[in-house]
Amino acid sequence: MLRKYIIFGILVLLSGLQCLSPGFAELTGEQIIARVDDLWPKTGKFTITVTMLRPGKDDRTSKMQVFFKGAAQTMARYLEPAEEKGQGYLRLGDDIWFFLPNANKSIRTSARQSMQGSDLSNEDILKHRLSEDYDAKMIGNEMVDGQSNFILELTAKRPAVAYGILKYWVRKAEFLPSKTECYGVSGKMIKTITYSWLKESSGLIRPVRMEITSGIRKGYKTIVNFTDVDYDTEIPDAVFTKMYLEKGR
Amino acid sequence: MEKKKLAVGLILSGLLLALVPSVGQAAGVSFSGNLENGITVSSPDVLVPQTCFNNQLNLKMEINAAEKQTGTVLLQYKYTVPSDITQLIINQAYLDWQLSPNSFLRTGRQKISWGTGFAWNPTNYIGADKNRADLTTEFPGVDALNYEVSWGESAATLLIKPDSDSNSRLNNWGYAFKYGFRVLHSDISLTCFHQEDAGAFGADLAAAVGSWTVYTELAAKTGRMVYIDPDLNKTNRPGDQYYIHGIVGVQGLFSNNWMAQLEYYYNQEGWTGQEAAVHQSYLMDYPLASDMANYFADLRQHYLFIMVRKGNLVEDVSFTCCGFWNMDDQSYILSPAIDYQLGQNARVTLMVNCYGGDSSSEFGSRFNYQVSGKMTLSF
Repeated sequence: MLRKYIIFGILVLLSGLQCLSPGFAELTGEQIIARVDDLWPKTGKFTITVTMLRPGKDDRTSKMQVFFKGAAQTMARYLEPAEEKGQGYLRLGDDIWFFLPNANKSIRTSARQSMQGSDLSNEDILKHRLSEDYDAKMIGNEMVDGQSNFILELTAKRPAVAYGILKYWVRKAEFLPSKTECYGVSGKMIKTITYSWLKESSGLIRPVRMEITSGIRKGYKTIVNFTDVDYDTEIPDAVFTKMYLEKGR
Repeated sequence: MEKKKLAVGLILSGLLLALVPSVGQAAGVSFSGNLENGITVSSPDVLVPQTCFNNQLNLKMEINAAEKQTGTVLLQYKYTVPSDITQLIINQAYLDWQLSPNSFLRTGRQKISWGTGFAWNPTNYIGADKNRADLTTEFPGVDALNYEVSWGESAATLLIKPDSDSNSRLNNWGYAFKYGFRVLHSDISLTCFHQEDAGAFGADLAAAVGSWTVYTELAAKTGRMVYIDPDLNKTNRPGDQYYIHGIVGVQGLFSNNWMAQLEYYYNQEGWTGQEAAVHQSYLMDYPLASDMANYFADLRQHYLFIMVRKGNLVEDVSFTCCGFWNMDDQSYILSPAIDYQLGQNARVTLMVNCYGGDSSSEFGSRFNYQVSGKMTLSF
């Protein structure tokens, strides 16, 4: 009988220790979001193919090349279709410009504007790290597709960001985001984003696919496929200038 | 004067000679552009047929000589029925040379778009004017040498424009300089311009405040065209009198692809009522009086521009409504338009221009309305 009590006591102690060990229980929302952000390399480039799916209509596809450096610098330029070729975005911190080749002019735009009528907002492509823009709070745990996930609530730190609140699922095993629900300041759900990633042996994150489902319009969906991901090429600072946006190649 | 002409010519020739051999070893040529077919129906007017068919091909050819050198030609071919007018216009033709990661040279006919304004750009000293009735109208670029260099958050641009034989007021050689920088979510540029009988200095600013962008352009210019010398039969341009030319505007970008814009324009160059009265007698005697009157009407002092746009209003349909109000003669244009994205590379645009004002006003003197439909195919 005593032995049973001792074993039970040890088990309770062990489970208690597990809770206190440097595992997940100690991690705060801020630490988790920082770990996710750390998976992105310092600089790199990739190509995205954006496919818009609309009920009863033909799919529409566009292609963009995206360069990024650090948390603050992103350049994205349309390669296809012909009508949009040459248009592009430059993001420097909270400032975003959109270049119109026909007018030969860059105009300021905002993080929450839709990218050419798709379900993507500018922020979805031009920002990869969230910790600088959102306060994170852990609100629970959930199994998604057989994997254990943290659920975080991210609240906008300032009005320049695209969403008021994000509900953010992060896979515990790899600290990879698996799903985001995006809400406006009013609390209305705008869209849901699901992600597919590959984690490289170096520990860096390699995006494969994003699927954006509109919460406003039924049946509206946008698929983003990532190709030509390159983290080995150092992207020069000159790429992240208005001169490159307007005239660079 | 001749020395300046020669110097600019030599610089341009030297650059062409330096670049053309590289272009000759072209690595690739690419074509892109669009084909526009449209119809415009106007209210009865003595000068313009009531129904016009417009066909337009815009062709862009790029020759990539090397990674850092490119030649570009933009041609526009227009055919109008029933006037049966065919035009082939070289809108732009320039050579680009990426001298270093931070410096860039473009020489040839090119579009210059200085300034932060949408409908007007008082600091676009060398660029072509815009068509108020249709802001999408493509004007030929200007012949110029354009050198840009950037560092950190700053950039500098030098434009040199050679002499031209056009009747434009910018037919003398001149140069313009711009220094731009970014501070506190604002783009600021300081600019100046000089040609033989005109000059200007000014500044522009665009500042982001939440969902709003506030912008302004202000220039002090000399060389205003205010009266006609009846003996010489041409306008006179006193170079030593400064006048103010500026805009101030605000643009809001909201959720669900709503956009709103308001822009106020001020030009001190145009005639005041008193000046007009003084010079009225000259105009009456002048052979091209009506042309001159229209010209000076274009220089009137106060305008207001408003635009509301809703992208994806319904499915692939976007809605835009633009309005111009001449605050001096109380005339206006109101232009609602819908735009339907028809597949990957085609769009249909339907626009109505409604004109208002009395018969002597700028916008009220011609049509009551114009309805235009246009289909654009991009390739």
